[in-house]
Formats: sequence, structure tokens, C-alpha cells
Amino acid sequence: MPKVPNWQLGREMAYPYEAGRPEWQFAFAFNINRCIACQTCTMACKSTWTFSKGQEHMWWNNVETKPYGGYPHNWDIKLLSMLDKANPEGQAWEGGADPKEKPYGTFGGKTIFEAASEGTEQSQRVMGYLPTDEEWQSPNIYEETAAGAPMQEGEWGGSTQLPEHKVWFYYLQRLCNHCTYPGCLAACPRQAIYKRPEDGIVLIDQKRCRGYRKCVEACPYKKAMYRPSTRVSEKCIACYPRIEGKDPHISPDGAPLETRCMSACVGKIRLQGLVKKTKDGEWDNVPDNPLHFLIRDRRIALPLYPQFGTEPNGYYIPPRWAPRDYLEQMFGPGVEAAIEQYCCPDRELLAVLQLFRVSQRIIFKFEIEKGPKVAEVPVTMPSGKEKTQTIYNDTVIGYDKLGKVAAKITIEEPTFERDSEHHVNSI
Amino acid sequence: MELNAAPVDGDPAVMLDCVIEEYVRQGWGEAEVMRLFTSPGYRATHELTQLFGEEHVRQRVQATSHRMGTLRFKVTYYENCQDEHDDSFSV
Repeated sequence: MPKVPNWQLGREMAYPYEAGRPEWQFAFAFNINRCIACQTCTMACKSTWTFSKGQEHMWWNNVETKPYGGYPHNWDIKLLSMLDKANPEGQAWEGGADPKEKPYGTFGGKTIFEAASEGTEQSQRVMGYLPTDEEWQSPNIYEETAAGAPMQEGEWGGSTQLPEHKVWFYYLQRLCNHCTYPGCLAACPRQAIYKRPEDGIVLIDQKRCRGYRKCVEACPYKKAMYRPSTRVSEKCIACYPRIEGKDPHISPDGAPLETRCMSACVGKIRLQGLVKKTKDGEWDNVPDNPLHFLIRDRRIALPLYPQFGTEPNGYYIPPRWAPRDYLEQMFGPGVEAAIEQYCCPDRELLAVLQLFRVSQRIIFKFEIEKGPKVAEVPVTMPSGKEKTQTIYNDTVIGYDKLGKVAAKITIEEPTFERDSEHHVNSI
Repeated sequence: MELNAAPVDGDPAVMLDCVIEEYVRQGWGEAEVMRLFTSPGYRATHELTQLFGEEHVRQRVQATSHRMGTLRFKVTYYENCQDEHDDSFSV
């Protein structure tokens, strides 16, 4: 099996094909801290792409409640259990982080590709499983509780004794990660799945697909789905006509636009874009690209389950309030450093965070016009330590691919409302 | 019935404070933040209100706003990158 570089793992790994070298890569960053699960993204996607017969169970974009939720049910718990069996010594990360080459250290365990090559089934290229029909049904059902349907004591099957914590942890927004090393692509016996050289979007050729469902089994994020009415598989297409700038109404000049789910986000938690890749397949060093800034420079947005080994291109700013060991299992070892930065952002980071969902146009470049200091606010860090956040009257400007200004945001002086009991104005 | 989860340590009070801070940082005022917590449509925040009571949530919102202030932003959108659309706001 060829060896390919995986920067998220900090090492090379086995993959059934040679590494692809797209010119640009579709990528996104989600700020989990802001999501309130309004599901506008989910419905924007559903009403655009999966509203037809046979697609009833398909939610290319979904928002699930962690820790209990998952669509299909328990998808990550199952994958992690399988990976645990393949890694009896644990899914451990080793070594110090080298910011450029190994930002999260080195993953010492086996990925889903490496585990499969030593698996029982010789034909299997990727370790995975096929969810049952029941697991695809009813996304979000009973996610907020540990015990399933609320039942009264004494009712059949009812138990008020089951352990359950009081509230949710956080919401996890999910869509196809358009992975650098897609599990679906690796497993397809028909070679019907391909990664576009222009933007790294992963697509299923509907004419080549025969509906063997190997992609459904292999995608660790379970974002390839089988459509019984056509007997072929389908998946998120990253709204590629919008990425290509082919909407004459919204983008008459042909500038690339964000996908439907991204541009519908009312909570402003999403920032989607295209990152430039070098001829070697590495991220090009473009420090004024907002995604490069958040993911590679600051490492505040982290990949989802990097240990799977697919090098997913969806990144998440982890929630500040959830237990760290749970978050590290999900986002890798960079969690603590990311949260530390996020809790007390410096002027650059605060400015870039304002670019989330500010324009339908994909922002390729940002610029900060610096202004005077306007405030100092006290911040309590997760450790309990007190810090001071300095706020500046800065303006962040986002530019689209054509170099035109897409949006300008100026941070202004905060307003303070005095407590009525402390309001002293005796004149 | 399949038991598919186990309780994990987590402090709802920390969640409450973090969510409030998040929206105050975005420039939301007390009324807007409270709507997020009192509307049953937002299940998570509404559950926090049920857990702590509306008055406690209101106090936490006020305390956070007083401590951090409400950030304000002036946003200018450029529709089709031709027309400048000034949309100053302090939500």
C-alpha cells in the first residue's frame, strides 16, 4: 500500500492510492461555542438537495447533540470502539508538537486504513461498518438524555434509575469533510468516487456507481448514503455550482460562493473557503487567508477525529465548557491550546472571528486596519486565572477571489450598562 | 432498551456562563440573550433555564454584560461587490 503524508497525524500513513494533488481544497471552520442547533443549515441543505423520493433518510448536513447524539446513531462510538480494538495500546499521540510539520504531535496508533490492512477480511481496504436502517432513522431523537424516551417509573421498560447528566454538552455540526484521503474513495470497487483536482471536492459518479455501499461502510463520518430508489449512493457535493461561482443572480461576476448550509447559518458559526495547496499537496503558506490563519497559524480550529486518518478538511473551534478528555478524543491533542486562545482572543484573532458568515462570497484574504485601543475587559480563563482582554477599534476587511471587498467589520467601543443600584448621578 | 451512554462530568453552570459570554461578545443585549434562553425552540438554552430558573439566568446575563460590556460592530456588506450597503448595528 502506498505511503502518503498526513500532517494531522504528524507522519506518513498507508493509503490504497497515491496522494492526490488538488490545486485548491474545500475547507471550513465551525465555532461550536456559538451553535444553538437551530438546524437552519440542515434545512437549507435538505431543501436544496435531498427532498426527493428515496432521500428521506438523507441529511447531508446534520447537527447532533454530544455526547449522546449521532447520525446515524452512535456512529462515532462504534468507530472509536473498532479503532480501540485495532489499537490495544490506545489511540495515543506522542511527541512534542512542531508547529509546522507536526502541529498536534504524532499519532502512534493505527488509522482506519492501517487497521484494515491487518483485518480479517482480505478484501477490506478500510475499517468500517454498515449502519442499519434503524440507525439512519430519526436523527436527533432522544439526544438530550441518556435514557432514551422519557418514561414513568413502573412503566414497561421504564427506568428512572439510569444515569443521566443534566444538560447537553454541545452541538456538533457535520457534513462531508471532503477528506484529503477519503475513506469512501479508497473503498469503492468501481472507482466511481473521485476528488476534483480544482477544489478537492469529493464526488460520486452516479453513472459508475452500482450501489455496493462500500463507501457507506468505509466513510468513518458516515456521510456517504445509499438511495434505495435509484440503487446508487449519494453524498454532499459541497454545492459545487456555488463554489464555481456559477450562480448568475448572486454572483454575476463569477466569484465563488459559500455552500447553502454555510450561508444560511444564522448563528454565524461557520466560515467556509478554499485553501491553496502546493504542488506537493501541502497547505500553501498564505497567512492572510482566514482559514489558514485559524487552522495552521493559530491552530484554534481543529480536525474532527484526526486519528481516523482521512485528513478531514472540516475544523472546529472546541467548546469551552466540555470536559477536556472528551474533547481531546474528538479533536486531538490541540484542544487546550485552542480553548486558551479562544477565551481571550488577541486583536488579530478577534478580528478574524468576525468574518464568520459575514458574506456569501468566499473570503480568500483578510486585512486588518488597526485602530486605537478602546477598552480593557476582564476575562476568566478556564483555569480560573484572570486575564485582561484589550479591545481595539480595528477594522477587518474580507476580500473575495476577484480581490473585491466582500465585507468590512469595525470593532467599536463596548457599551456598559450600569447596574441600577450602582447608578450614581447626583446632578 | 439499549443503554448507549454514561454520565460524564460537566458543570451546567459553566455552560450557562460560557453561552451567555459568547452572545454578549457578539454584541447581543440582555433582551436578545434572554429570548434565547426562554424560547422552548432553543432546546439546550431552554433546558438551562429550566434547570436554573429564569431569574438566575437573567442575573448571570446582567453580570456578564456589566463585566464585559456589550461589544458593538459596524458591518458594511458589499452586495455583488458593487453596491456598498452600510449596515451599522449594535444588536
